[in-house]
Amino acid sequence: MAIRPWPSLVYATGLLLIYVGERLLAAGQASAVLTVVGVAAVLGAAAWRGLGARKTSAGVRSTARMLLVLYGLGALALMLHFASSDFGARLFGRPLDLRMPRLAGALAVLWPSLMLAGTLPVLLVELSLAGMAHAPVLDSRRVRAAMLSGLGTALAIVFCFSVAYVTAERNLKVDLAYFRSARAGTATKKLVAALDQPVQVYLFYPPANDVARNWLATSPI
Amino acid sequence: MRAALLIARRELGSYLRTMNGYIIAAAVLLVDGILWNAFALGAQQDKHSAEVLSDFFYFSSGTTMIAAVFLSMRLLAEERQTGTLVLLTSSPVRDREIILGKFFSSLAFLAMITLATAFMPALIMINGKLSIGQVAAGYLGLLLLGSAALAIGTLGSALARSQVLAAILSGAMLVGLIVVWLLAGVSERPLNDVFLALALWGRHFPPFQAGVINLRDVAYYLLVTYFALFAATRVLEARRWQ
Repeated sequence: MAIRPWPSLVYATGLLLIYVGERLLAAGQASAVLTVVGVAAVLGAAAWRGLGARKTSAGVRSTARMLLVLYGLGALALMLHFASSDFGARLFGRPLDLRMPRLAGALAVLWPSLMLAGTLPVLLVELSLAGMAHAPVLDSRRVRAAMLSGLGTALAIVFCFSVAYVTAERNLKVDLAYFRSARAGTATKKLVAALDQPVQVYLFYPPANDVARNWLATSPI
Repeated sequence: MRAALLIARRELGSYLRTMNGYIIAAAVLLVDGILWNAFALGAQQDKHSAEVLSDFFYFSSGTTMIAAVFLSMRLLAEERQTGTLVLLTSSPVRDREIILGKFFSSLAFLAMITLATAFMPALIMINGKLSIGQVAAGYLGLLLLGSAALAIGTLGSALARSQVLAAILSGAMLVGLIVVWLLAGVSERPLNDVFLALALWGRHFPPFQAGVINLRDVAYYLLVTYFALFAATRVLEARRWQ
């Protein structure tokens, strides 16, 4: 079996360097160097994987092609990230979120999803390949099952984050507690502020009432 | 689905027939009772009924998560330890049915333990006023939190080779998801948004304590449950390619 994990390790290292350069370091020479080295590592890993599988058996070649497609997804995610980052702003003159805010919003969701879909299957494929390190013949069905498992998990993560985001944005709230102090709305506050006469408020509560006690404890009056 | 229910019934029977289930239930009820007396009721005389109820759900959330770890640690790790997992996976049952069956059994047992604490909020009626809405919201929150914790425990049990390791793994994942709330305070965007969205307790449980049900919190707990069970199924399926 002639499929080695080194290109995937280089690929992962490249992604790590890009992350450190883009997120952890402040903008400057060190950050730029790390980012460029990271991008070179990702592209180099793809080239290494592609060239390394040329003179191998059909099974190994199809597995290498599968990994190459996954690296490609990762590289595409990086391109989309750079297009919407400071690098894209320098390249196109203005930041993308000012020129095309909807596209920038779509890219902000798309590139992490693609990155996940390109990275998690690589990890599981490599685990599967490690399990077959001493096998005389590569079982491509096992590799394919690992890839599909990783892809399914990545899509499940994207689904969960999407649903969580939508429910947070379109949240519905039901307050079932009887104990709550009512608050005046904006219109009521404006109406009261516009009055030129003092306002007298009469509150009626039964004795030993939690709401009344809370109101008395917190009221500025 | 019939196979999942069959497995759930068998597993629930094993909780009820052996001492393990009763020991966990007794321990949870004992700790809940102590926390209720010592902290939720407390020595403070002028505590509002709603505060007592809120404190009860606050403490119960901790015991529910711990109970979930102990209930779920045996689900798959025990089968692996005793060598019966092969029998189960080679039977005409899908992997997801195994996971769902085991999860439903532990959820049913956890729900029984949780509902057995209902006498504590009812005691508020002696000297205060009980808000049925707040009690219902609090118990809904406890069940959802318990469901998410059990699903994480099922994932831990699917990953580990022994029950002790499963408990440690599940506990670590739960603690990680709880303290991620603290990380949100010291990190920058967009990571802090991700950490806030992931926090298992800090953002999503306190509204239930106060009697408020938010769609986002219900969806969050259901999604954590779904994803953890999905991942547990993938782990079980991994024997085909590892």
